[in-house]
Amino acid sequence: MADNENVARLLKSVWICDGMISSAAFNLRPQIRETYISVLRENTDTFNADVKKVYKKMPVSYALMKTEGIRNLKTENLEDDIKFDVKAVDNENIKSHAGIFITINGQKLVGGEPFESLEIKRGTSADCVLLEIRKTIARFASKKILQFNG
Amino acid sequence: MVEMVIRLEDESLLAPLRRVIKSLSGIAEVLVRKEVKVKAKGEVYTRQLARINELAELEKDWDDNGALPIEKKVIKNLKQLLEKSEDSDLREWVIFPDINGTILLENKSGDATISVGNTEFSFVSKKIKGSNEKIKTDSLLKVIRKING
Repeated sequence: MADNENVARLLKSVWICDGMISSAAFNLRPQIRETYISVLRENTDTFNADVKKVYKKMPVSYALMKTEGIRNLKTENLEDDIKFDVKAVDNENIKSHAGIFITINGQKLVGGEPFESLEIKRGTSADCVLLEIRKTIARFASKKILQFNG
Repeated sequence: MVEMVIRLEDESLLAPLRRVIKSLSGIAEVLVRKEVKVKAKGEVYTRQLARINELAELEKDWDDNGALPIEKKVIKNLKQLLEKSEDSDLREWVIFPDINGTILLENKSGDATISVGNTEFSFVSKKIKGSNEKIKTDSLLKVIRKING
């Protein structure tokens, strides 16, 4: 995906408060061992139809993020090497589907996977690493919150 | 009719003293008035309590993706924190639900997040090194105050 593409993360209303998006909106679901945070590519013909497929109740809010911005995200309080990438994800029903992929020191982050398998820096809590990653994306996402009215 | 007021510092004296006084002749009635100190709660307390109660009502699958309802113990932990805190402690914090039944406290400046669970809390912040700690209202409040500066 090109650096100048925008992607949208659809948001439950409970995740937006006082103009900020919660880190909770950027979880990798453990029950399906999620390997990426789902987003939709805004600059596609099917974007509007895809939003309606994902969310039945309108209006729905979404965070609009530039791909380049996501790729350049830096976690502030960690010594570990955290990298973010955005890639298209094949999905027959949702053509605009894409995902934010995260690696920690070169290893892919997977929802619900034991952290023992990841080589995080000694003295760093695994929970704190996850919190920092989610917070970093949430703060970036909070810069542009839009509403889709259907 | 004459009234006498006795102010007790030790509440345990109340019952025996009442018995003694009542046993005396000429006592018409013994009335007890108890002073209750009520800590004044402000706008932040009211707002945050309403938010906690709102999140406590979330049902299973509230995110349409299998999210768990917020654990009762987590709600209790949050309410205990609220009771102990001053309005200034939580004024700049927003409370969010997390999909695993825990709660996130996030400050509005965006530089700190605290995850509150049943028995532990973990946090990251620009100001102090993040860690996991056992849930104790005092230690959670201490972390919040440090982050607030």
